[in-house]
Amino acid sequence: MTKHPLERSYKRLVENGRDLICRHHLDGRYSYVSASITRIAGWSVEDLLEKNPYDFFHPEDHEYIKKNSHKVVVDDFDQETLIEYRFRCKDGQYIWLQTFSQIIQFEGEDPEIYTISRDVTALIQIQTELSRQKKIIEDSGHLAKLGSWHIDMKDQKPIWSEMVRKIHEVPADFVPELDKAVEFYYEDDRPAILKAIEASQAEGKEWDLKLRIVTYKKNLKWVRAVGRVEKKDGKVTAMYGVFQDIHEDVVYAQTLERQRDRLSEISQILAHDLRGPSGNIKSLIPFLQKEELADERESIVQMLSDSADKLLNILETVVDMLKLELDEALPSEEIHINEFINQIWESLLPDKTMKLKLDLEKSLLVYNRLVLNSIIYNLLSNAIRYRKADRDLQVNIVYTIENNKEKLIIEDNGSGMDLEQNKNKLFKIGRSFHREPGSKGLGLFMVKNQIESQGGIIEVESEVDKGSRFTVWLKGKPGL
Amino acid sequence: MSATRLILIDDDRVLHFVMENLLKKLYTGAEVEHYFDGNEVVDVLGSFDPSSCALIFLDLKMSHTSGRDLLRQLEELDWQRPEKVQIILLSSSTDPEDIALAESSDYIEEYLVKPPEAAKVSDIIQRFKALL
Repeated sequence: MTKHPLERSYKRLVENGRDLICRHHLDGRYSYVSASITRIAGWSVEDLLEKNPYDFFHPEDHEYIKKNSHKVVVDDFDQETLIEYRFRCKDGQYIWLQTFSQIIQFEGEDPEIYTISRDVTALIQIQTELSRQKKIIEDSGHLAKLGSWHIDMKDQKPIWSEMVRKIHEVPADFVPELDKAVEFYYEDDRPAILKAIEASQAEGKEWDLKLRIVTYKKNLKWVRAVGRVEKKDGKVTAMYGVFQDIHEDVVYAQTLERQRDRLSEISQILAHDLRGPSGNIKSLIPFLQKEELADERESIVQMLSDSADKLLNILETVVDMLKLELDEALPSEEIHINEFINQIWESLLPDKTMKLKLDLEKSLLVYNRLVLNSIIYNLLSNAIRYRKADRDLQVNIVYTIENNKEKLIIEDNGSGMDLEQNKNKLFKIGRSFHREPGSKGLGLFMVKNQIESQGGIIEVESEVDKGSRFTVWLKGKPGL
Repeated sequence: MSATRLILIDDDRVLHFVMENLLKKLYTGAEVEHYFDGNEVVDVLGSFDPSSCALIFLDLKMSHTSGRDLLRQLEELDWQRPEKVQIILLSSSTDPEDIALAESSDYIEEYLVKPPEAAKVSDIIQRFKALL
């Protein structure tokens, strides 16, 4: 039987083409396989003929192939499908095939599935690698709490990455707006970012700033904001940048800095304050042996004893300070503040000329009991000790919350202090401003250290003859 | 010639006791004037005239007005140190900052570390006497 020349040329095309062309019975078995199978998968044509193709498909892909191609075309002869799946080669390796399938039925013959398949392994590998790298970038962005944003000036709509949204703590349906985006920055930091954007618009410079934002949920967070403006023909076309949550790092750095300050303070005490009394003891001892000073021996011994007391006092302070630094975080507990303050006040035995007034926004305060005791005790006893003799003492304690930060204000109408020159000295060791006996100058120093160990801050305002006002930000000031 | 004055400014009474005893021995016949705060001597120094003659020991760190504060006040008053007035800075630390202050101030003759050693105080007195 001779073949028609056109049929011969079609056959050559099919046999030598790069694609694999097959015919299948409706159950899938191969009824024709083009010779290209050998080049593509290593099998001979005979290896496949009348075999079930599912024996060659990757077991994990059987379901997918059946559902998305085989059943589709068999159920409806007019359907065509295009799917990708894994196919086993003669050497046992799998390749990715992309297969086009359709049903063709010639007159008087059974319908058959015609498939044209192409090896897309290289393409799939590139795709897999790309999505793997994308995932790595996303994952590392996640680890570094780093996200990206951009604004196309045409539509003025900021696009935030998932991480930028997460840093801002916005709900899923939140849509950022150009004008509102800057408002997320903490008020004090807005001028800095606006100035940076302006400079970038003018000079094309990049900005890289450490700033604070107030999140959607009203949390204050330190972020690193990097960005730049894109210009075309002198016009701003887009802005883009990255955004990183650096809150933990900043807080950690602040803690380290505080500890370093504290250690340098301790070393100051060791180098300077301890030298005073120990030097005194050293220089007093020879006088004890001098005959001509026999009359003064009693006062020399008294001076020695005072110096020894001072020495001990400073040593105890240093030990306390080191304890604050080295101990595990002091435990916080719920304290009924009204009762707590009143108990301390009563323990100071106030008389009729001394009044305490409390103005408490909340009745419970969560703090370390010892530290709170030290704050209240020291400030109240100072208020009593340094009251004005010619008027009744009035002490007011206010407990309030400002910008999410708790503060205690302890103010009195006592003799006050001249802070003009002495502001920095007030909380230093051994700095007593008053000459009354019993003032050792250690109380405020330890109070400051204890408050700082809780992340807090103490501030003072005072005027001679008017009184003093101490403000304790129990766990730090707003914005810090 | 005006009488020579020995002035001691320190808030620590032990130092007054020790220095007084040292000075009495090393500077025969001298009467020591005692002050316990920098503020108390501004007027004393202000009342000096060009022929005044004094050796002053000034503590750097006092709880109220320190030696540092006093020097600042004198500078603000544009106080002129008479030729025969010497100020010796007393400090219980060898802090480089304190030494730098002693060296940079025109008012300060020398820097003496506490507790004062008799030999050093003696040197200071010899040098002061040579000036007279």
